[in-house]
Amino acid sequence: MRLYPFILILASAMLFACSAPRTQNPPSAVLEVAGVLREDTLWQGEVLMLDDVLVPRGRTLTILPGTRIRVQSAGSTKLEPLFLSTATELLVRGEIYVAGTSEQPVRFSPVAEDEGSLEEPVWGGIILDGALSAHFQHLDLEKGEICLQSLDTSMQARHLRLFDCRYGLILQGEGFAELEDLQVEAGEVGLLLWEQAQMNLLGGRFTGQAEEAIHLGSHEVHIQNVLIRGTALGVVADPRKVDLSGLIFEDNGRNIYPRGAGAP
Amino acid sequence: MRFILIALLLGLPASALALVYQGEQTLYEDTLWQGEVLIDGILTVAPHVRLEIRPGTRVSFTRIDSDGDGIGESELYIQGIFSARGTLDAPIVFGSAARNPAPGDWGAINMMASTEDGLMEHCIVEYGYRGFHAHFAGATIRSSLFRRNYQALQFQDSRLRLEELEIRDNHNALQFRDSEVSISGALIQDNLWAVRALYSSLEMENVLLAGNRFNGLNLRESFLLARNSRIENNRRGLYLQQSEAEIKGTLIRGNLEHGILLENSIIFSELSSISDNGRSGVKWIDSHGSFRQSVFEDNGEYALFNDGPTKADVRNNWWGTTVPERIDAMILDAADRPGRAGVDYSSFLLEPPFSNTMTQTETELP
Repeated sequence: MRLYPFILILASAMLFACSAPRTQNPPSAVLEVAGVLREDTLWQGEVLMLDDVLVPRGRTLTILPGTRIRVQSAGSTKLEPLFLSTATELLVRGEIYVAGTSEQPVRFSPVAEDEGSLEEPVWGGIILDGALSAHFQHLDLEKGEICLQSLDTSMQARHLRLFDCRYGLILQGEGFAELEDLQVEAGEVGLLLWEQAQMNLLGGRFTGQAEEAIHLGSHEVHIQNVLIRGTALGVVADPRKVDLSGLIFEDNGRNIYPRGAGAP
Repeated sequence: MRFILIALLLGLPASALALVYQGEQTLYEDTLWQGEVLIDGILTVAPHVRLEIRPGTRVSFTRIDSDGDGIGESELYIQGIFSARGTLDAPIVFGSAARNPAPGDWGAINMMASTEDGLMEHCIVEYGYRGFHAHFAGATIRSSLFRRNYQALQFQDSRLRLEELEIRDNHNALQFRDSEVSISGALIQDNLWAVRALYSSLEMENVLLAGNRFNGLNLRESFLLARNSRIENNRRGLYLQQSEAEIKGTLIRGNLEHGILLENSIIFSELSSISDNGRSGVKWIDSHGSFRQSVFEDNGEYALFNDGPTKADVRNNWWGTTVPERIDAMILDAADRPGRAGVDYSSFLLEPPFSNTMTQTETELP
């Protein structure tokens, strides 16, 4: 079965989480985090990201089911050499395992959301920058500038849900993304592929993007059983190179924009 | 001042002799460096004291990471006068002492409220956390290479003249806030971020920003004057947030996303080319200004996308066609989506105002 390797990796990560020395918050306390992880780290329960967090090479961040991570806004005015977004971000150059379940997903959302004053995305999202390993299961990301971006990283994600992100998911550079049941709701753009990025997208749903749901360009991808509904523009792709038969379109302003195939 | 001739003690040949500064030390007298210098800690140049570095000198920094954050802490902290003038044949190198160097091995060349403006010429700065960092200071840096740093150059409350620089393969190239910066002749290429400015003014001429994997040029609450430059093959080309820009003779092309993204900004652009950008040539949100005598060709979904309530003035430009319906199809505005303002593309040109492969003035780059 295709899912077995993924489950095995997550199970191994959780086993490792129970056995290796690491930073760990008591389940009942709110863990406040910021800065560079200096050891392998486990998050569970309530976590407050006060500022940028870096998982450097040689370190692993594991997040257990049901963990709720609230992210403090930073006003988008930071100029930090070590980090990439001007907003608060989780930057991964080492390894990350997110082990949510259908009953207990892991959720990232901005603090401002709790205060009822959120109008625009106020955190930078998760950035994978040449990360050594990235596995996500039942992960919800909300209201980020770019909720998840993968730069030169191979990643696996099952049941990844992105809500109200300006950009949902960006795949850029060398790396292969195995995506299963990707759901992107609202925001400006759902999914963008740039440079040499490759992707399998098996099952998913894109709804309500203000611009395009998926921007593929000329990338060769495998897409199966993905619904695009209620977006301004369904998919931007070169239909001569990309098989779009796995896409289902409903009620979009326009379904396909034939990038690279001449004028619309 | 305390220094140790380690190499002499170890009986190494004369070429291996190194002037070594260990721990926290301060120069209280004018000092001249040549040959090999090793900084194994933090070396401060006291106010009014001059540090001069001769051509061919190599200044190496030991990797010290006392807090385990992965960032080296050895650095040069200049409150006095700093002059590092190499030559084309004998540049001055500021780098890591590690056998296998990596970005962030050492802290920075820090200029902090320095007595006089600093000068760097024909220098190579590599493997630093912040290669060059200025705070309440001024400096001229010319004919130098910054590579493989986390942050090549960073300034706050400073005045910088950058001439004929090459800034490549860093995580971030150039970031500054509350500063006045001029760049004439620079290649800023293959970094993650290229230029990011906050509450600052930037004048640039003959600058190539290319292949940077995030934004090429991002200004927030800042002012930009750009001449004869090229912004190409970045993720976004030019991104203005609550900023003002005057652009002339500049190519903005081949960027993966938007060539220009305007958010609550003002732009006056002429004799420029915005072409072959991935999603749109210009995305215009709540902005003002105009484009004149410019070229919009072969941009992805749209040449211009007005996503706000202010009308976009893009008269007198070349759109790659003289058929109004085709121009209209390249523009997304109120006619396509209710709630947006319109785009005035009237008086469109009947032929390109200049060669599409080059802007009005031949761009000269280092």
